[in-house]
Amino acid sequence: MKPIDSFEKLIRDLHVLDINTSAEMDQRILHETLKVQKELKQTKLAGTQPDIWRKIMKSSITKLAAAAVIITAITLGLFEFIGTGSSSGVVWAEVAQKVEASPGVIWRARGTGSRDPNDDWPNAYKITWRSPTVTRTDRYRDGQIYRTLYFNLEARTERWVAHDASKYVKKALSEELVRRMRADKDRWTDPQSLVNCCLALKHHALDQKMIDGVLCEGIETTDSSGLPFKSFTARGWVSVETGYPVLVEVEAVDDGGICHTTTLDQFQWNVDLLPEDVEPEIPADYEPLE
Amino acid sequence: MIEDKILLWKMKHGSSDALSRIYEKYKSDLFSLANSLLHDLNAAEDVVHDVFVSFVKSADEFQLTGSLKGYLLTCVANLSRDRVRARKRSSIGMNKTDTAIPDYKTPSQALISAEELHCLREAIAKIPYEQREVVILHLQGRRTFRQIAESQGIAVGTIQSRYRYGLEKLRSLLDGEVEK
Repeated sequence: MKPIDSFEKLIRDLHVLDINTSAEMDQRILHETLKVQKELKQTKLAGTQPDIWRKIMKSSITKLAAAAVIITAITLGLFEFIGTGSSSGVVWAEVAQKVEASPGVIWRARGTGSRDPNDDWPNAYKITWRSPTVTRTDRYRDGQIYRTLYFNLEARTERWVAHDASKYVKKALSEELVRRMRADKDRWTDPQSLVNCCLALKHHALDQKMIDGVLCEGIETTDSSGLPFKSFTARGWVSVETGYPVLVEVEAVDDGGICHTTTLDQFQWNVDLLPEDVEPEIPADYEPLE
Repeated sequence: MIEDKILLWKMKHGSSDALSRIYEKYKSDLFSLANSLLHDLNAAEDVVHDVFVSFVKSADEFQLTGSLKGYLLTCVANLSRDRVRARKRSSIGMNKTDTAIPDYKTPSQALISAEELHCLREAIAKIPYEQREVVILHLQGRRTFRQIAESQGIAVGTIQSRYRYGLEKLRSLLDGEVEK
């Protein structure tokens, strides 16, 4: 007779009941859902609230969208602030230009938030390599790598390595997914959007401080107006010497009182990320997942 | 997570990319849960579809107080339960196990044999629905007993009992398979 905890382990830890959706199924569900969303949007625009919509487009949406863009940018490590005066080293206007000009970037991300027991905090972190064409993310738990995800938008390939199961998947990226990923990248790395949104958010300069032996200057915003949070604080620290972001900290409390935090650090800017250098090596004893 | 909050906020403002991202992010969890509860791929697809359509329609009034994943899982569980009640059967899909089990295995599933996997899925499908729901939500959906109890308006103790009975039933079913 098998002990009960063996069943618990099979279902909970080995995810034996998990299944993947097919591309056709995704197409059906997503197509229908997006269609409903589009129809709802058109209905709103056409009749019910034209004045409200126009008003939003004219004023507050600028600020709302700007705020969302910048938080996304901060969360993703593409932190760019300008327009803040500095008494010493950092020329903030140049930070955005340097970040934009960086061909590739590597960073570590840690975070906590929600009461979701799937959250890996505090024992997990992600290392991400990103360039305009490749993205690789290694996920670690308790210091051990357990997943690697790799996307090459130019070659339209995807690699997925499950180190904890010694398995891997190689497959082609669909046109639709590539289009969506490119759209995401464009939005998140658009410096002009970020420039505009920075000007819309209230922020102030922080005193200089040493972070991991690097003299940094920072700015902080607590401007949560229009954001889906009760309170919101984001701090960005930039190296006085290099002008590149060193540390990004975000803390937000949502309407349910749950505190979300995100910390991005260990940045490496201005690196050339060639696809062949970033593509994960698959150990010889790993088996393909058919 | 902050990302979910932003995605939700953007979706409310009509972003199709944000909606697509939410779908991509949670589709596997939602579909796995629906299929585990209903043991029917077609019905699972219908449930996930209906949950997302309803999610979009109610976006304007929607206020997220916990995790987005938890909310969507609860929606899938509730809708699955409605489907089962509508069919007026205590155990559904028993004769559909061949179509309900996809060929694809995730890396973790590769750690057990196909036969074991098949037996386990068959056995889970035979547990009374109320027990199966708690077992799946707790172990696969990672919902706490309290969260499950709150979403169903039932005492935590009842949920825990259903979980315990469900696992006992699962064990007896699988032991029966072995003895055969």
